[in-house]
Amino acid sequence: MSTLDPIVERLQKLQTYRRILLAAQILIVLAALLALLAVQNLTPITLSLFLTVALPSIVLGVLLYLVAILTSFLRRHGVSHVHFAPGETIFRQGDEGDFVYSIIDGQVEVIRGEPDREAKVINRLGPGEYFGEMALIRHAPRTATVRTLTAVNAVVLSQADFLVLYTYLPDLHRSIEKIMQQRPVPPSTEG
Amino acid sequence: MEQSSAPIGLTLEKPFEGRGGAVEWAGSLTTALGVLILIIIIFTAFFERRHLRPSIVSSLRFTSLCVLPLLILFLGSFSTLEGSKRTEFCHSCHSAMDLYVDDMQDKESTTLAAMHYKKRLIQTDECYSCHADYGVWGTADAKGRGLIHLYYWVTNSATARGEQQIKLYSSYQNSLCLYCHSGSQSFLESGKQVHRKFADALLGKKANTGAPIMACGTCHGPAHPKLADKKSQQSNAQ
Repeated sequence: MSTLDPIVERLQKLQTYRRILLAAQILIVLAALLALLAVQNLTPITLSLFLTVALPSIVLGVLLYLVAILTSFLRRHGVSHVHFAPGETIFRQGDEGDFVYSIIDGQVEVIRGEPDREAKVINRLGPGEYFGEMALIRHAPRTATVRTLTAVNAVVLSQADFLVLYTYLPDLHRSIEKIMQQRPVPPSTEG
Repeated sequence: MEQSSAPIGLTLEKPFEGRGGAVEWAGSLTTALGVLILIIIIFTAFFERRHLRPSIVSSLRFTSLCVLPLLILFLGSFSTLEGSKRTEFCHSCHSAMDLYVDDMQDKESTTLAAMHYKKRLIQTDECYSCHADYGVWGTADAKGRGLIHLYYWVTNSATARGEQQIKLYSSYQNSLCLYCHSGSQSFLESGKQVHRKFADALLGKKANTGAPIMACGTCHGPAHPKLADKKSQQSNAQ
């Protein structure tokens, strides 16, 4: 195991990607506000804030954004094994579909929110079961939120890899079709 | 009609300023880009889970988190650093700079700064032209010292309140005067060519302090009034 493996594994986690992106957005928003302040009302204070806070924020924000892109790339093309802590949200309803997850051990709950109704748990999944395939096959956003109930180890398969298998392995195709028919139908408004 | 007491140079609009200079344009573009960044980030966050295609989200993120911020970095730096060379910016530390700027704009004053101002010998950035060394490193050095000024201002020191005479960090170098004057005919030929006679002393420096052997201010000073003189003027007036 190389010394980079733990870092790559961390980067591959969805939450890490989101946090890095959020940090980049916060820094850039802060820098933009300070730039506006300095340009509109140039005083010693606003100039100093621009030079000492806004400029480093821009550099750091852009770097973080590039790290987020790298993270996203690694998630799509890297190692297929991931670990999630208890209570962690793996993806949210409405997110872009990017992976299929197959649970090695641990449990997750599937939560769906509908307009004007409270979100409710519609399924629980455990070892050997998989989730996340519907968005990839339908090329639609996630139809539900998936959150871990316990620590979860899972194997992930990227959209491209999954669709190749789905297209060329008839047994897998039939099996997935069958499971999809058994799952609750998502609201039509969610595409 | 009430007559303005401000020097005529301040009251007439300059002929080329209708469309603004490079600094104004950089400032306006920085403002526009800043607002655009905020709009795109909020728009992306709000509509990401609803109607936007992933490719559009990625493009908007690339624009708002990489392209536009880098443009702001360059345009904003240019706009603010150039803007900070203006006399109004120096004067924005009110108490500390009132004495110097008021005297410079005083029609009756005979100090060097006032004479330069009255004759429009320096067109813009009057403070900066004499108090920052010319060239990129002079600008960088001045900006570094500006942070020390900010410290005085934030801590409301006696200097910042205008209660203590502002001092130069080091001896004023003749090269700052000679940058403009040395090539002029009047400088070379005036006073029976006195400047030519003292050229070695004007260009030379003292070995121990680095100060000019003969400072321009020795014959032409003072550049600014002294705080004590102003206080005595005020007490006499009262």
